[in-house]
Amino acid sequence: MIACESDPSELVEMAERTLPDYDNPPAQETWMAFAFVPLKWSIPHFGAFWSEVRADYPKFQVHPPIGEFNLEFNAMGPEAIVNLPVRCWFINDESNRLIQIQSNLFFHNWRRPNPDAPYLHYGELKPVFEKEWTRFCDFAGRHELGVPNVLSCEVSYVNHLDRGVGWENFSDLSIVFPSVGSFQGKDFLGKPETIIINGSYVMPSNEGRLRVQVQPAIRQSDGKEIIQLTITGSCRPGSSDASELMRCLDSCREWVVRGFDDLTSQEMHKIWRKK
Amino acid sequence: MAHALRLPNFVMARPLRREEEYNRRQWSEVRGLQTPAWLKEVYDRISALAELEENWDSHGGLPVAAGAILTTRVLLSNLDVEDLPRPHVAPIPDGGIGLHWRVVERDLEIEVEADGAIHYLKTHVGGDSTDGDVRSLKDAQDTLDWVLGR
Repeated sequence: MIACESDPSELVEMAERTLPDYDNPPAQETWMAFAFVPLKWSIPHFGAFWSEVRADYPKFQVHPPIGEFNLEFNAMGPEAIVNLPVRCWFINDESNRLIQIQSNLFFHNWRRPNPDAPYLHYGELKPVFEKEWTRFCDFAGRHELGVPNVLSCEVSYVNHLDRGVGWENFSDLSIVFPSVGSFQGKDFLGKPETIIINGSYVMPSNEGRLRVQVQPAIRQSDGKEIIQLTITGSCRPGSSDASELMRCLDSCREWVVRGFDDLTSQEMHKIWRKK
Repeated sequence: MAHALRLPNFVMARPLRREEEYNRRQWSEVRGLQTPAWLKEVYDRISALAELEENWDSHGGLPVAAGAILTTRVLLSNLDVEDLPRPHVAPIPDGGIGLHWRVVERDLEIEVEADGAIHYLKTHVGGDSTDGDVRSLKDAQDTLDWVLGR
């Protein structure tokens, strides 16, 4: 747990020195996100925001929103109003960074352009997120949308564990996760064909949770079978001040990294070249 | 009159699969291996084909080529195959892979050649056949949709 009285930057540096680190981690994607009280954000705001970031994010996609939304409209009146909830993606030229925006969410995703491309560390991605969040808040202020009141911070790492690299069978998860049993039946059932795991752990500060999902999957770019291990730390910040938000991100990230190290086996650590 | 509609009922062509719902925050594209139920079994079958040695059919059959394995895997991981039955998967003597579905009176054979080229043969059982090339994922999806009559 990080003490509030200390200089956050010093604590981040201290954490960097003590956190487990790998030369070749299986991380395929990382995102940082803030969820906030919905802004009075409407369709034109997406276009206006894109015009400000288009030089850095020239491509866009429109997606359904995350979470449940109601589509409200007045179909009878002469001035019929429709509020269509959507989520816009703004993608950079290299297609390795993405901003996702909807009325109550702001995401920055980074992904490896291909499985062999170098991994970008948190220390390189966090300043990018901070810059884009500041740009978003400036935009909201200038368009009279107010200051986003942040309800939760989130850091997530999506790891792809390729079949044949340290493990062979989806039923032998204990090779990767030593604390997982076989889930084999006592008499009647044999080994399971596949196993999905969803776990959550309490982070002691800020109503935080670390969520872990283990899912057998196929990577669509090359059709390879993988175990997708997604670890997401989220917590509720004490305020929407930038320093508090960044402190919460650091805390979530620390839990993700320590959680990853704690859950996975030493044999896999060797493959990922733990320092 | 004010109306409130739940968005999924309003715009979704089909309900989101569970893994789709979970993966909506992430960008890297994966497909869960648990649906359809036969997917894992078929992937295992494709992996087994990769182990075949030359003359596996006693008639000089070539080993299944890496290009055919890759293309078949990418194909199955990118298409909507939820409603299809398990395909019959077999090696082809020239180093390719054949996939075969039969749904009621429609027969579909897809051949993935050693170099990754894809061809189809559609047959109405007891009736006409048509064949052609699959040049894109959309072509492939249209071909699979045909066997389901949609």
